[in-house]
Amino acid sequence: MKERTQRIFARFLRVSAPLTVEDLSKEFRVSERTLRNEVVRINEYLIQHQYPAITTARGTGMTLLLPEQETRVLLERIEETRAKDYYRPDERFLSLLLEIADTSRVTLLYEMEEQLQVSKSTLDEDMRKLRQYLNPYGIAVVSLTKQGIVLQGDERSIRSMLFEAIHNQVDIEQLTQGKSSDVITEFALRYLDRDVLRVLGKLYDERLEKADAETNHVYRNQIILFAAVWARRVREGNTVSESTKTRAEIKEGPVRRFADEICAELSLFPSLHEIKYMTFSIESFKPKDMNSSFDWVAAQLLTIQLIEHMEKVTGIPFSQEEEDLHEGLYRHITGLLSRSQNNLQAFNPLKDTIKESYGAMYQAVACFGQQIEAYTKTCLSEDEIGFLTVYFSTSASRMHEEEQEVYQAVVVCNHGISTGKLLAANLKRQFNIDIVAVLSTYELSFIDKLDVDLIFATIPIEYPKKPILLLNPILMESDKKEVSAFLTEHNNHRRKISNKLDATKLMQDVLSLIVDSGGNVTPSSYQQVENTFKRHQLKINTRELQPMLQDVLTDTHILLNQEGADWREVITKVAEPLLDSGVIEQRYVSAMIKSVEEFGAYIVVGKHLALAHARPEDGVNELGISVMTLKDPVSFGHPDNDPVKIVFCLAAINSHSHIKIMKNLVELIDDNEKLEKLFAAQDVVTFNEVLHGEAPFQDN
Amino acid sequence: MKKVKILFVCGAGLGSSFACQMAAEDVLGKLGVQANLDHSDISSAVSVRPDIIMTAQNFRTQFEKFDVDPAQTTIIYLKNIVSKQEIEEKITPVLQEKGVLAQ
Repeated sequence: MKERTQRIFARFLRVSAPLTVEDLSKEFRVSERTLRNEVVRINEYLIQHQYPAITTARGTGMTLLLPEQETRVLLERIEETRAKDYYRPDERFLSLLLEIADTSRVTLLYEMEEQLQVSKSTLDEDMRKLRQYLNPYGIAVVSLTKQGIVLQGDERSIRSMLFEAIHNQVDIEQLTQGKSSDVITEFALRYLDRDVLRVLGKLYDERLEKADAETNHVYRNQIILFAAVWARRVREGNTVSESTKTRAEIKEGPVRRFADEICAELSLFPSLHEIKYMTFSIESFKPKDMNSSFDWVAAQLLTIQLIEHMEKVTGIPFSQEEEDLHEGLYRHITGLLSRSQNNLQAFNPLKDTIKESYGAMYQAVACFGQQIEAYTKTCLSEDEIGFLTVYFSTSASRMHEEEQEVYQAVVVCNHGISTGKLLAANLKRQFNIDIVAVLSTYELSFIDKLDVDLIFATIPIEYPKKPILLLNPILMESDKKEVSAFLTEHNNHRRKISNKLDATKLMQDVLSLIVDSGGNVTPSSYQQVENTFKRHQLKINTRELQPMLQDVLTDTHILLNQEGADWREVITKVAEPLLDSGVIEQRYVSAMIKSVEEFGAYIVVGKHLALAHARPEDGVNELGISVMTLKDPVSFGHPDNDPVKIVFCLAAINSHSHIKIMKNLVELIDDNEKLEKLFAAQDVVTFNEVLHGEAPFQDN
Repeated sequence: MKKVKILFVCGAGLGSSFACQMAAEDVLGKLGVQANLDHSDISSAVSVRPDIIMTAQNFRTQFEKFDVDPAQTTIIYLKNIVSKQEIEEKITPVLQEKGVLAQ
């Protein structure tokens, strides 16, 4: 039996709950077809040895039901046949992940080679897979001079990821009992610490077992695993981000006491904030449909992704509002996931009003809907989109209130510049006051030249033109009250600010102005314009001005394993998606073909790679790109690079906005290994993984 | 040292020429040559009067029809327009000749 077959077999033996082809193919990173073949092979083995085979039940998945005794015998047999001295890929994966996640020690790649007894190339491949695995969580693997290889990303995501990685690969029943039946469990035990798990189990049984109100004991082991990951991360000093505006109110109750006792027993001293995260997360292990898979991680992930998505699309810094927004959304999404699993429809009476008043935000949430649908496999209703929109509109208006209006003022102080500055900083932080300057009494005449409304002074001054408030240089409680009253009294001086203005459109206009007036936007002059905008603190979305390949190449624009009789047909075919989506007009296709007829096959820019394109004025409506791989290579007439196996079709709108896309393509041309994988890709998911999969990473 | 102007040319002046420019940027960086780089389509290439034109082999017949002053502009034809090796091999003697790169 092959090594992978053994692993899948072992998975069936250890789990009695139904397993779906889809989940397993993801877990073992093989196609669904390969997985089905593996199941056939396992069944052949079972039948040959007179065991019952794996059965499939419609809608739930596959199960292998054997008496406990026989399960153990088979598991032992599998363990025996494996090579003793080598770690299997899944074992290396978890070991590598936990090693890198450990921030108390420096992880270096060459040490890992030795530890796992693999070659550099195998480890490189492992690292590639690891990065690919971490990608959806928004976690990157980076190499730093002093810390070695570390994970970089939102602490919540990292914890969710660790929880899920361990949960998926380890028998957690065994884990929480501190038993290790195999190498993988041993790795997890070493990371989480047997003693910690024992303490957590004991505390759980004492505290939460009896209090049945807020937790579901089906999730006992998951709660223990979650708490163990939490304890480990907190001990290493990795904490969830904390905004200054956090309202840390924690409900008293058994879960809170459980959390406090964990800290006491394990000598942890986390912030109130961490305790809040912990109790909140445990409480969210709500009783749900027993058949439903565990969706705590999915809800966390969707929440984080949705906030990021909304921030990117709307340009409103939602992640700064993290605490309230994150919690509210997370609670809502957990409910949403369980609703959709049970086919419950939520009715939103305000749906139409929301759509009307928060159109842009509603649309932005709707865009993200696909990702939620991909998980729930059901359609996300407008009612649900409306609910999600409310969280963001509330959060935005809260931010708006806080930032919308300010007072402009000067501080006059003779106690030295640092005292004046301290007062200025305190006023800025505690009130909506923008301090334009700190002056001393002999500079009073400057005030006329400054655009200010109010004056704060630490010494009595004569200045009849503007309202003055006398304060202590160090703000006392009484001073704060006075400032509040003073501001209310002069609230007619408040001004609106609009520094959040998105200047992306402005920059686009400036660039086309340069071209219209006969200039030329080269990459370097583009850079100069961008720097100018940044220097003036104008916010621009560079991703919109110069998108990357993955921003523009949508799934529907990827055609795989196509056939084409000659290069003309190939160009026509690869352009089809762009034509269908209105990116280009029909005449652009003719122009691309004409250009090859006229000048030859220069568009075959790399080995087996062609880049079909023509000029913007040949019928391009917007920036776009499509790609097609060929089942049978086609000759374009290039002396060195023929035959062509992959064709990109580029529709550019000017000479600069596709620069990042070109960079991606030029890198691709140099990467033979990657190209081979692209030629071989059978589905769009694999194609995308190969094309965009690798996070930027510098090896030492 | 004077800044040499190099123009990258292809049929449309956007795709292949841009790719070639990026590959050449790396080569020039390696050689330590400061240059003014731009890309364009073949019809507007000659009027720019650059020091060097880099283009694909198959444009040779087109360029031979144009009246390019060899004293002003050297044309480099490439078999593989993104090959850094080929670019380096062919551009080095030209840069030396133009006096922007030490012999």
